[in-house]
Amino acid sequence: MLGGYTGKYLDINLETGTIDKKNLDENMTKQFIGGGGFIARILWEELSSDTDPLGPENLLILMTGPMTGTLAPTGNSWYVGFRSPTTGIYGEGRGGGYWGPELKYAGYDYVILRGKSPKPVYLWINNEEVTLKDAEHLWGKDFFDTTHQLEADHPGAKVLGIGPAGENLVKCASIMSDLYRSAGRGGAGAVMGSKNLKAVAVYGSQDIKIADPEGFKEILAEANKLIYEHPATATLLPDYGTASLVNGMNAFGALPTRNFQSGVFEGAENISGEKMAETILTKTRSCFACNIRCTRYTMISEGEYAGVESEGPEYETVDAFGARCGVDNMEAIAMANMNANRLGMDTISAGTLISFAMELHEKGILTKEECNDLDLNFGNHKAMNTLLQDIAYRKGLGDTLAEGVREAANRIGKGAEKYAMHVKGLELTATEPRAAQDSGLGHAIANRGGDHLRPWSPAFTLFGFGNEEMGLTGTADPIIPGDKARVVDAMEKTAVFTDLNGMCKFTVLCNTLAPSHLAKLYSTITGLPFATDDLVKSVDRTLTLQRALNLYKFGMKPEQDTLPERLLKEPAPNGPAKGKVVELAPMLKEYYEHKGWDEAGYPKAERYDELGLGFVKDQM
Amino acid sequence: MAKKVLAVKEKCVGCRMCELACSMNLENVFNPKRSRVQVERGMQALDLPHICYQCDDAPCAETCPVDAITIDASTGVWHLDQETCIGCEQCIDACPYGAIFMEPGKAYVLKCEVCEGVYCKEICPTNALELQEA
Repeated sequence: MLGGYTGKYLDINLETGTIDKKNLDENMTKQFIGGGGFIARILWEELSSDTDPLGPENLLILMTGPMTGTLAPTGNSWYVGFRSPTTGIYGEGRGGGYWGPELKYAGYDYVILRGKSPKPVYLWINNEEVTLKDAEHLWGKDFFDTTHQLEADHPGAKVLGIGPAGENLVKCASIMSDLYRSAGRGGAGAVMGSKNLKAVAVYGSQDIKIADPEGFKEILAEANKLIYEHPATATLLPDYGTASLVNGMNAFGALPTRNFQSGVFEGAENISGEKMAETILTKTRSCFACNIRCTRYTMISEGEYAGVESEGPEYETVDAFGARCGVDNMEAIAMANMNANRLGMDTISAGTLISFAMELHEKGILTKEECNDLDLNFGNHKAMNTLLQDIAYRKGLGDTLAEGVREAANRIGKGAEKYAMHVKGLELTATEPRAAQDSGLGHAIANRGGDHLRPWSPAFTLFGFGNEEMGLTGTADPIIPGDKARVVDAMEKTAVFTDLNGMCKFTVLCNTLAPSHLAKLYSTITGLPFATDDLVKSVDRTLTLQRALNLYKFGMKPEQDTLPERLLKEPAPNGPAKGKVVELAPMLKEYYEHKGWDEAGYPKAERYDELGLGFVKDQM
Repeated sequence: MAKKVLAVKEKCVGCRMCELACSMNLENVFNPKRSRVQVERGMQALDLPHICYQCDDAPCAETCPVDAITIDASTGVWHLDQETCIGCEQCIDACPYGAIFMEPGKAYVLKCEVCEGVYCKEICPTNALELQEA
């Protein structure tokens, strides 16, 4: 077996209770590496257009990559793969923390969970001993209590699981790990809940071997030096966390505000990473094997929100519960953040849902009675925190919102869809695309729907961090549509390589590490000689297979590569992008061409051959 | 004063890179459970590295029923003889710093013996580990 992998995985049928230990397919490791690559390959093999995302036939795959559990910078990531109940298409989430490495130390690269358990259970993986255990006593508990109980029952175990939102099949339910880390996007928590699986506790004490320890130490020293010298990873992220972005994004007019009515928030300063450092920040921490250290540990000891204690809030959360809801109260945001972690909810989607409801209320589409009797106006942080709980427990309006913003808009009617900020059913993230056109393209084409992370190209177009090895040099104009396909593609390829391997994207987003560093880390770990070209090809293979899954198995049409009407038709009211809309059509055309897809957005048959995906053609 | 790797707990962020560095340096693998330094992580942002303090008056050596823990007089570093150790864990209980660990699946314990290279210290991103010479 290649270095970095354990060479084994678990295949578990929750309905029958069968637990199989299987050997990793070495050919698959070479083609798809791990992470989202393995997930796409397995889903392609096993799922069909008939798969009900919340039915027993859907798979829940808990995945790692070859760098997970190693000393590769940020080698901590775990992934979850599934058909998304929120979007109906490809679902993938990523979490950091400690759980992923622990699974590798227990001796497994991934776990496939299939079927539905007849009663609530949790999975206990203690090295070779793998058991499904009764979870009646945990069902209904929030994720913090669940974790503390399982840690007490299994000392040393790392815990992954769901909160009430997942149990209640809320479409933005996340899978949480290590108390505060979240694979949030696309409703993985609802899939886990639909399987009656509350948690996976794992303890491992086995070795991970790598191919070339001396070579690895050399490239590691080089990579670490870059991390300690680059302003993003040496200063901004450790000092101010991801919320260090708030002031910058606001200055660019790119901080989504009041449900994307604007990209400029007058209260930005109050919710910035700098402000957090002065007020509620108790300590800077990190995930496993991470020397970037962006984790915030925040506590509030007095006032209205006394008792709040959690990691975070992150940039996305600060925008979701802050600017987007018109809230400039950091403590209220921290409260919502902590509760989303306890309840097991994606803060990005939850904030989108609440701001959507706030706008509907202000526009008169929803009455106060229909808003659970809340004064659901922008800026009302108490109402925001109440509605968050109501979504998790499906109370009143919360029950409608729990279906995701696309379906909620359908149910509410009265023109509500105009205010539903999503792509392919997945709620949008915290970059205002009118001020960063490339981000509009990135959101429109991302394989899991409205996604911010695959190509977070604003690192280049707004903040000027190039990527010389991928041809991104000089400066770009963020508010014109020209030459954005190349930018999005280059950033996507670099970022997604970390998603195949088990690293965090923060190593590459601001060009701290270049693709050649990643290729060298991969080579010394696995023992496979691997160059930047191979990296590009392996990412292309994965992304193309994910697109094929969407097109040929999950019923997606390329016309869904679009953005909410507001971004395409309503000019930005203020800021540097004032008067601009997203000019998506020319960017999409350019992107399809750049990728070797036809004009309608389908990858051409020869692309599948070039990428070793010939098997896709049988389904076209 | 003994040669030792000193942990400055206020600087620790809980990344546990020292654990990976230790197991890589001494065992050529990644396995935190085989590391001679282990970080405890808990509520209220507790990140506490446990590593042998090389005490002058070592309760571990005192309690060891088979005299497996002996001092190098020139450095003050306490060495553990894995052949002699019977894995009774009495030293684990005796250590006031929680700095002795069972080797998984084996009948002997692990403790920091201030190895060549001190890779844990080199890797620590916050300088929470310091090498103190004898």
